[in-house]
Amino acid sequence: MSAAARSRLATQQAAVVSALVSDGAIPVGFDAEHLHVATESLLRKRCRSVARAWPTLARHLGLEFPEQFAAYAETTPQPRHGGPLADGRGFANWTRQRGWLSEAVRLQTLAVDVRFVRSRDGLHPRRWATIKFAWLTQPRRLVIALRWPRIGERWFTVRLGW
Amino acid sequence: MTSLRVSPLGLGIGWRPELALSIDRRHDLGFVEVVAEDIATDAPLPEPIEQLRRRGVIVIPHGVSLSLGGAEPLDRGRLDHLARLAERVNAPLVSEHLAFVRAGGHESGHLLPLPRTREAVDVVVENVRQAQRVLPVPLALENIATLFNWPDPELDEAAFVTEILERTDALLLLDLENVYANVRNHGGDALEFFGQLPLDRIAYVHVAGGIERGGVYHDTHAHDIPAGVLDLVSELCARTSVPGIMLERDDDFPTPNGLNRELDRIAAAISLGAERRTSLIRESQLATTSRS
Repeated sequence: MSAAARSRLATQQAAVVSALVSDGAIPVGFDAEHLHVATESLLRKRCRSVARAWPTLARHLGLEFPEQFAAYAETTPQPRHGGPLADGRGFANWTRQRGWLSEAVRLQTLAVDVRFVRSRDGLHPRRWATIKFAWLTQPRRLVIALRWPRIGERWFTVRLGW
Repeated sequence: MTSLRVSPLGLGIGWRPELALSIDRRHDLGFVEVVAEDIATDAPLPEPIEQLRRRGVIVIPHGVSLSLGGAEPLDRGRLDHLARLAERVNAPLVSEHLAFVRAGGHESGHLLPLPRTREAVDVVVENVRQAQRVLPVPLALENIATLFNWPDPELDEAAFVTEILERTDALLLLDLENVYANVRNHGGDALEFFGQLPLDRIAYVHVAGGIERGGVYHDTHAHDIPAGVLDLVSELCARTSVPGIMLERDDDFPTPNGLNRELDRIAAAISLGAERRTSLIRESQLATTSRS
């Protein structure tokens, strides 16, 4: 197979994905209505996948979840690595910047952060021992998560005040 | 082409954490499929999966993000993960899709259709062969449901799938709900499609539910299986002996009873088809005997 064939296909596929999930023009010969239906379906699937991977965030936002997620998704492309867990980690950050996160969400965030490194393109498994903290207030306590890859994970809670 | 028959898997289900309890209680399952991207290989397997394995239930890793139809080079990290997971769960095979999921720096988040051209077949074949060199077990390729199609196809879907299977020696993971969805949304005939496919290469079969929205059928995996999909289960089982058939449920998870009902509906559709097949075989044997 020629490299030219692969490169032609790459250009065509890039145009299709760009039309679906970004603001790319409809490529010649495609049915605009069908692509529109596919775009909506992709957003719905993305939203449901994040709600499943982040049940704490789904509960925190309740009925507002789909609308808030759509606003987040409009400006944030899907991460290349880490799937819905990574997408939801970005959404949790976005939500925190616009308000607050419940303690349940913050604990899930801690669980994710102790296992993965966050980067621009998503989440990557941590290779080294890691320690992460979360200050929580109901009741006041410090939650410490320790993780050694391939060995295990330990969590500690230190109560602060009575 | 070598004939790769898959040993019987029986009735199965896509393992999801939300269904773990229901799956554990169902003792007639021969296999579960796990989404490869959801299972870490640097941590212990989820305990419910280990328990199923101890019971002799086969675990099949199912990839969703390898982008085997993508023009970009295969992501070696994802491929290695699928290979490691296959070894980890001692899988008899793994599966992926005839689709692409990313291009030009954009992730689509789901399976997108390929142009059905000879050039695209060449790209998929090259990618599949590369994956096969790394994977420790056979690879089965799944047909997808599409909400849109590329213009000017050179091949119909059956010819496209068949040519890729023949040139790569891969197995077929036949998704009957995707066949149903494509026929509803784009026309065509499911039974004709069966007639054109190499049914002897089926490794196992997916069955799922969906819903119609605005005149378009969506394969949501969140609704009950439509009767039309169960009819296809029977029709397929009347034509060939299928190694395994499984339910995919990814959202709006039913109660254990609801899930049992769905699995029972599949089992009944399999029996119906298998009975028809047995009587067809008997009739043809009788016809042969009376002729001789």
